[in-house]
Amino acid sequence: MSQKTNYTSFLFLILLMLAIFTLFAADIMLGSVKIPPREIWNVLIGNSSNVAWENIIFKIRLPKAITAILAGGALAVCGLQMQTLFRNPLAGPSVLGITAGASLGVAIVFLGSGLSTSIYALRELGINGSWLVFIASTAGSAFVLGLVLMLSFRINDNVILLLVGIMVGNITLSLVSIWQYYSHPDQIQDYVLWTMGSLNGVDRNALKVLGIVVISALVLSVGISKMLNILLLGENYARSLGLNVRYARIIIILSSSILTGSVTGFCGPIGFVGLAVPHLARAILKTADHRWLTPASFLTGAAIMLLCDIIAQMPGTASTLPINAITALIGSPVVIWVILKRGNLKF
Amino acid sequence: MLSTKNLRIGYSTKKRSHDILGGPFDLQLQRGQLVCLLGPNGAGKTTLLKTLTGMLRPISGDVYLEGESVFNITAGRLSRTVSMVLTDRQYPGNMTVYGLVALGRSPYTGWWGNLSKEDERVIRQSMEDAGIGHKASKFIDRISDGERQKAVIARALAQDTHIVILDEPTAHLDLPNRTEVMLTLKKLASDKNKAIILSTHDLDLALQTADILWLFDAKGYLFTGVPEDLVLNGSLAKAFPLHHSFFDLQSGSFRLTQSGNKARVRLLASGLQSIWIEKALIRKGYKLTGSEDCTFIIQCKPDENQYEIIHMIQKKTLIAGTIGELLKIMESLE
Repeated sequence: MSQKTNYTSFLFLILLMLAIFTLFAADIMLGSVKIPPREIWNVLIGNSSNVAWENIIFKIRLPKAITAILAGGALAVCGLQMQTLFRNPLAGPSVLGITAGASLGVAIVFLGSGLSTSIYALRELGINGSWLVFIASTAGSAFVLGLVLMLSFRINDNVILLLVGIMVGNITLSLVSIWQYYSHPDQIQDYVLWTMGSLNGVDRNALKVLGIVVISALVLSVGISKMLNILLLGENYARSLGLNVRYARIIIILSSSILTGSVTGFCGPIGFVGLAVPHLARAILKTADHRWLTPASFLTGAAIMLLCDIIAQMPGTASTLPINAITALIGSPVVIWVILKRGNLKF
Repeated sequence: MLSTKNLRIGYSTKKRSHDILGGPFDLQLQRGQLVCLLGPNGAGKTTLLKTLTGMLRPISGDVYLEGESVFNITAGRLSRTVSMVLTDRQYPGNMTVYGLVALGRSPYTGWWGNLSKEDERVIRQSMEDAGIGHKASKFIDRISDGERQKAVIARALAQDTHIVILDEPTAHLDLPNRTEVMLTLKKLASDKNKAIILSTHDLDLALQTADILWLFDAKGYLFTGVPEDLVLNGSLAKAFPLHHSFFDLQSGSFRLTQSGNKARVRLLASGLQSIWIEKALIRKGYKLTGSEDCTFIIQCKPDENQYEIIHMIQKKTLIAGTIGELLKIMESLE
C-alpha cells in the first residue's frame, strides 16, 4: 500500500509481461514439426512461401498460444475471486463445482442432441457453435455456483460450504456419468476427449468468442476490486462498510462463471491453475489488494499456462501430453511451496 | 443519538414462533459516553448489538438513529454513522495493518478505492489513536492478539463514525492489553465525542471505566445506569446470580465463596501483610476467627519480615519466612 510496495508490484507486472512474451515466442517456436526461428519470423510478417508452415503457425500454434494466455489468466482470476468470496484458501473453479457445472452444460451440448452435434459438427456451425458451447458451459457453471451460493445463505461456516460445493460438484459429475453410460460411444469419445482438457480445440472463431468474453469479464473483474477488497473482511464487516453484499455476490458469481465457464467450454476442465496461481501471486506481491492481485493473477496464470503447454508438447517428440496432467504437475508443487514458505495458506 | 423504543430482540426461527431473548428495551445512547454491555453467556449481548446496528431485525419495536429508523437508512449512509468491531477473528493473509485500517475508509472512497490525502491522514491518525501506529507495515496475521485487536479498532475509527459498536473487544487478551484497549476506548469517547458501546465479560474493568452499564440478566431483563448506582441498588447482584462467588460491595469485585472446613486460625497482623495472609488462608480453607478458641495463632512481625505460627494444642511455635512456608508448616502440623 505504501509507495515502495506499489513500485515493486508494478515492476513485477512488467517482468511477468516480459516472461509471457518470451514464453509466447517459445510456445510458437516449439512443436512436433521443427521450424527454424527465422522462418517463423518470415511466416509472421507474411514473407514465407511454405504453406504448410504457414498453416501450422496461423491455424495451430498461434491460436493455441493465445488460448493458453486467455485460459490460464481467466482460471487464475476466477480462483482469486472464489478464494475471496468464500474466504477460503482452498476455493477454486474446480473445487466449488463450477467446472462440474460447465461439464454438465457441455455434456448437454455433446451428449444431448444426437450425433449431429458432436464437436466436429459444432465446428461446421462456425461461430454460432462456439457461442452455443460458451452459453451452455457458462449457464452450467452459473447454475451450479448459484446453487452453492443459495446454500451458502444457510451455511455460515466456510469450510462446510466448501464441502457442500464439492458435493454439489460430485452430484453434477455423477449425473453426467450416468448420462454418458446411456450415450452412443461416438458421443462419449468426444466428451471424454474434452474432459482431458486441450488447448488445441480452439479454432479462430472460437478464439474470437473466448477473447471477447474473457477480456470483458476481466475488465469487470478489475472494476470490482474494491468490492473484493472489502469482502476480504467477511460479509458482516462488508455490510457495516456499506457494501450491498447480495449484489456483490451476484456480480462476483457472474464474472467467475463467465471466466471459468467459457474457458472450460472450449478447453475442457483444466485443474489446479485456478487454485494455485492466486497463492503464487499473493506470495510474490505480498499484498491482499485486488487492484494488484487481479492483474497479477491473470498474468501469472497466463505465463504458467504457456509453460504447461510447452511442456505438454514435449518439444522434440511427436506426441503431446494432456494439458490437465501438466497443470496438476506444476500446480501442486506451487501450493506446497507456498505452504512451506509461509507456513500457512491464507485466502 | 441512538435510541430504541419497545425493542424486543431475538431470532425468528420459523413462521410465528420467535426466540425472544429480551425486551422491551427503551435505551438511550449519548455522544461522549462509553457504555459497557454486560451479561452472562447466551443472554443476547451480540443479538442486541446486531439489532442496534440494523444487521438483525428486531422481533418488535424499532431502533432510531437521530430520530430515523436504522432499518430505513441506506447501507452507505449507515456506514458513515455506525462502525463495528465484530468477534470474527479470521483474517486474510498478506494484509498489512495499514491496509486493514485503510479499508475503513471505503465508505468515503470512489469505485476504485483510491485514497486521498485526507483519507491517508485519517488512517494515520486512527492508527495512532488506537496505539498501533508503530506496526503499520506489519502483516495482521503476524502480530499479537492484542495488537490485532488494536488494528481492528483502528479500522473502525478510520470509518469516522459518531457511533462505534464493539462486540467483546477484550476477549482473548491478557490483562495489560485489556486495560489498554478499555482506556483507549474511554479516551476516544470523551476526546472525540463518540458514543461507544462494547460488550464484555470483564466486570471489574467495566465498573472502573464505563460511563454507563447495560446489564443483562439471564431472563432478558436489562438494567441500565451509572455503574455505582447499579452496585448499590443490587442490580449487579441480581444480574449475576452466582453459586460459588459473591459480589463484594467493599472491594467492588467478585470473590469466590470459600467453604472452609479446616482449623480455626487467629491472625494477629496489620496492613498489607494481613490482607494477603488472610487471602491465602481462606484459599486453603482455614476459618479465620477473632476469639481465643482456635487451633493456630499467626503473628506477624513486620520489621523482621517473618511469621510466627503457634499451634495451641501441640504447644509448638515455628517461624516461617514466606507465606508459602507458612502454609506448608501449618499443613504439617495438622
